[in-house]
Amino acid sequence: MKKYLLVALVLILISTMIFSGCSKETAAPQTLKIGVLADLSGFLSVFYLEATHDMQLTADYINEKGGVTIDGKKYNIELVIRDSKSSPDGALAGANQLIFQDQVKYVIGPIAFEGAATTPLFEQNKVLHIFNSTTTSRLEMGPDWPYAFTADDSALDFSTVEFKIGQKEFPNAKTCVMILPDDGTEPYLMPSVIPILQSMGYTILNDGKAILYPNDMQDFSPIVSKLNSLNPDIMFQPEAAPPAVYGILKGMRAVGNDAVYIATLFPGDPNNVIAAVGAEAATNFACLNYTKDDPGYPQILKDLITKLSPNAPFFTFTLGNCLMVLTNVMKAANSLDVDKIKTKWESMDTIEGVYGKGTVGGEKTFGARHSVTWPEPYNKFMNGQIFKNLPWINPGPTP
Amino acid sequence: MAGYILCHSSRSFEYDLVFLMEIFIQTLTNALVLAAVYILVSLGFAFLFNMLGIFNVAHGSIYMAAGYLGYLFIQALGINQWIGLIIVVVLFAGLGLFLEKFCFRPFIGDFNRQIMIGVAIIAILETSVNILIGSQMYIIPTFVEGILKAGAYSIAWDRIAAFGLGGVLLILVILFVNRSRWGQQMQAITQNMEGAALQGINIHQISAIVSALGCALAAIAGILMGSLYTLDPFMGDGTLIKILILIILAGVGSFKGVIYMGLLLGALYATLPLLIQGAASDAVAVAIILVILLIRPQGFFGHEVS
Amino acid sequence: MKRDRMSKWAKPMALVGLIIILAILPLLFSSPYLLHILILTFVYIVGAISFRTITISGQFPLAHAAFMGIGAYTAATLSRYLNWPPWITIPAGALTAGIIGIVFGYPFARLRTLYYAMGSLFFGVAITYFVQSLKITGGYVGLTKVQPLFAGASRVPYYYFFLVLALVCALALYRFEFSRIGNNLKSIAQSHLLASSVGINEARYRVLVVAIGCFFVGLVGAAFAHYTPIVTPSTFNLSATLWLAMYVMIGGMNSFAGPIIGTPILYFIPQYYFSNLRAYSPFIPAVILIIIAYLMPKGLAGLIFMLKSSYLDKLWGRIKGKRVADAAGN
Repeated sequence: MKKYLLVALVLILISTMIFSGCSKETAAPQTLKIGVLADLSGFLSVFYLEATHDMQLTADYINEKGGVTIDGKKYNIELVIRDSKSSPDGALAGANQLIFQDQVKYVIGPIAFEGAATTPLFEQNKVLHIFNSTTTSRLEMGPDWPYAFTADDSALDFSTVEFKIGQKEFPNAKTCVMILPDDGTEPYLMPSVIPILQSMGYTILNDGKAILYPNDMQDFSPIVSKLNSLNPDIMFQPEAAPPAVYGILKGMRAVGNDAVYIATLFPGDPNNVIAAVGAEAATNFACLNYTKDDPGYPQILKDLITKLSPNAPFFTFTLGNCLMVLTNVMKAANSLDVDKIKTKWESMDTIEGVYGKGTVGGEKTFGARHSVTWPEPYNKFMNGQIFKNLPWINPGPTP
Repeated sequence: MAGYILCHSSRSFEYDLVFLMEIFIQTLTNALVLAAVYILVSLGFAFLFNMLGIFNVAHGSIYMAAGYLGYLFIQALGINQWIGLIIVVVLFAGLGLFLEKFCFRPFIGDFNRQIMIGVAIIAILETSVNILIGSQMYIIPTFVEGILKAGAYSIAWDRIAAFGLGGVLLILVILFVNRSRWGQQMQAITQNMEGAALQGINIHQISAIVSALGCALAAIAGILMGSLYTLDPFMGDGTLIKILILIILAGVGSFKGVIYMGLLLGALYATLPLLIQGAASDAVAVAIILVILLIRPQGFFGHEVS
Repeated sequence: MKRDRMSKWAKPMALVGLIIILAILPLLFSSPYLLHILILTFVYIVGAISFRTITISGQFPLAHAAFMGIGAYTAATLSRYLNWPPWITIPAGALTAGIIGIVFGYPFARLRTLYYAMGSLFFGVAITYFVQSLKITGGYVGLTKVQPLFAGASRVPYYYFFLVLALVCALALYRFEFSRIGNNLKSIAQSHLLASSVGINEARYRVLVVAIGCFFVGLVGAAFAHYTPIVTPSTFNLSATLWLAMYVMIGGMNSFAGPIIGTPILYFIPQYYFSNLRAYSPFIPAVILIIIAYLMPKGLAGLIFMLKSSYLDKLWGRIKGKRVADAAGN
């Protein structure tokens, strides 16, 4: 008989082990749980490890200033951060955990292409989810998804900003190419971008198609050869990680091509560019990114920058900005109800964020006013010299 | 496809020739540099695999870690690049000795546990680098600055240097394998381990030397890669796949094959992205290799299947 | 002799007890996240068991997650583009995986041990690249909007479906392993020359076992596609295969229970209890792997077997008031 007892004992042990993990749902009534899905591992962690850290600073800042007051009640923000592992299935696992274990009602993230996996799940469970970056794909945001928002510039807005920089800084450029990672952006982005480019007087080389590179590419020299053979006056890269930008810039200059190159470079200290590609290569180049000492920053951002540790190589408050937007809409709606927040957001014209006032838009692109855009600062490089603190470029509301 | 390269309507014929020549030279350099990196990083794997059947899946991550350590010495501590390179290579040779003693030797002939340890090492190295330094650094300063300009053609000096360094190392390795006593003992172990042991060859000593050599070569490749391209904590995964493809193509048991097939692989990966858009270029490369493998499953230079 | 009967019954009793606990689990506790992780654990258990089934023939299939992907992508494609119902797409996915297993098995049946491992590894990598680059499979993002298996957001029907699926697959593969074919396969693994000398057609048996392993992993992959509604290449890449191999290895290659013990320990526990460590969480499986590689050469199942044969028997003997020597007669 004892053996049966032993077996029963083991089974009880297993079952208690399974159950013990589940019974921890006690949240203090005064905290407002906000889920975050960020890539803490995988090839995008270069960006998101720092971004989640900076987001925590923003949350602390909001809490210091008295938290979020809704209906006379004060709430402190508590961030629940989960890893999305730089892959759609990792993001899906994280989303499951956020929705069902942590039971959050608002989620910030994941990044762009991972959204295709998580959006249906969030929508099914009525979770308000805010992208910090989208590829404008219908799988991530669109008329089918009422709870999908974006609170930072999308690939389309970055493209608009880059075209405007191109017109302003390099007016002689006539022929252009678009460079994109092969992550499903192209079919959605290119049709909206081509009319803008044509209205600005650019000729699009490569038969109006973008140059695509595999997401995990390391050696960009074949892409460089291809670009060099097309020989454009100007190259736009609205959606890029630093390795791709450095690879293409360094490669183009090494083959003796001085074409203008405009790219997003988040995260990055512009001084990194010269260290990475050499002073000789840093010419005819403009990148969208933030410096620590821009005098044009709004007060909130200046306060936040003083809180950064002096060792932080760069900062990226893009996730913090999403948080700020969310809390401000909550305050304006004076409610924690997801539907009320959604309707309030759609009725607002401008929303205050970390980067100042953002403009709400997106009727044509996303089918509803679910997007907020911000002016972008940029830096220009000519002959190894940085031109910092140039006036910011406003993409205008997302069409 | 290749149309825009071959018939670029807006250019004159003479210009086209110069232009095609230019693309050819660029692609050739790219192929050679890539081949050098692939061969260097694969040789370490091939030595241990051929000699003792050790399937070190962590080799790609070791290469990644070397790149980051190189960055730490060269960029963060400001040591001269060449001295930094030598320090890292010596350190990684030490790591090779350590790994051989504690991670490979206990598991000779036990494929399962080799993979277990390998996966554990990958997880530890990638996660540590990601947490400690991953988010902060990207590129090792170039070893040789400037661009070589010859008429209409131009090539960056650092690529030429990388290729030169790779070539010199390769010759040294070939000399080591074919001429030195250790190298010949290594070949003897590869052919027949028991026989070699009966002849009085100290297998553990040779495997330690070979492991150190392999890690040192991976370290050089990692630093070269870090200065030519960019570092990221998860680059070892992609490199591991390249290493395995190379070893399969070359055939198990062949050192010569690694070199030839490295050149083939470099050529494929330098040319195909030029002709084919996006991720499809990787797929075509893999399809070509798959066809080769279906014809010769044992690889090109491997001894017959036993 | 009474003891013999009891020890004979202890194992099935434990098994039945475990199944009962798993069966009533959603009634007691319906945390959808727990159910989600358990569903994935069932999926990986089937993957790991079918992986081990192929290894009994001495082949090391390092393309196994890719075959799960073939099943998943077939089901997803048929469901999405042709609107076929899940009860057709799931068998179709399994069959496709099995057939591709045969097609791939024949040319590689010439290869043995490490050579086979390398060849199949490359095949898996190739499949990942193809899937990643084709338009019809959705590229890097994968295929979305796969028709869900059950209506509604509840995880409970999925849980029971995957529980039953895992049990059926495990039972089928158990019967297969201890059938005559399974014994022939084991004899091929021990000595292929001896096996062919007694009239066992080596190549045919090896292709057969690959086809069967791929069929089952394709089956569970296809069902998985109808559960997650999205299939992406990163779920089925080389590291997924390596982890599948890890689930088998830490459980123990020599025992059928190996993957069933190993998968929860290496997947469920880190995923469910340690995901709060976020970026640090990959250390947990790494530590488990190192401990098991150095301390338990035969895996966890081997350890249990070892304990059973020494410590538990001793304990048992003491409880029964008999001498150890009497008890160890079995």
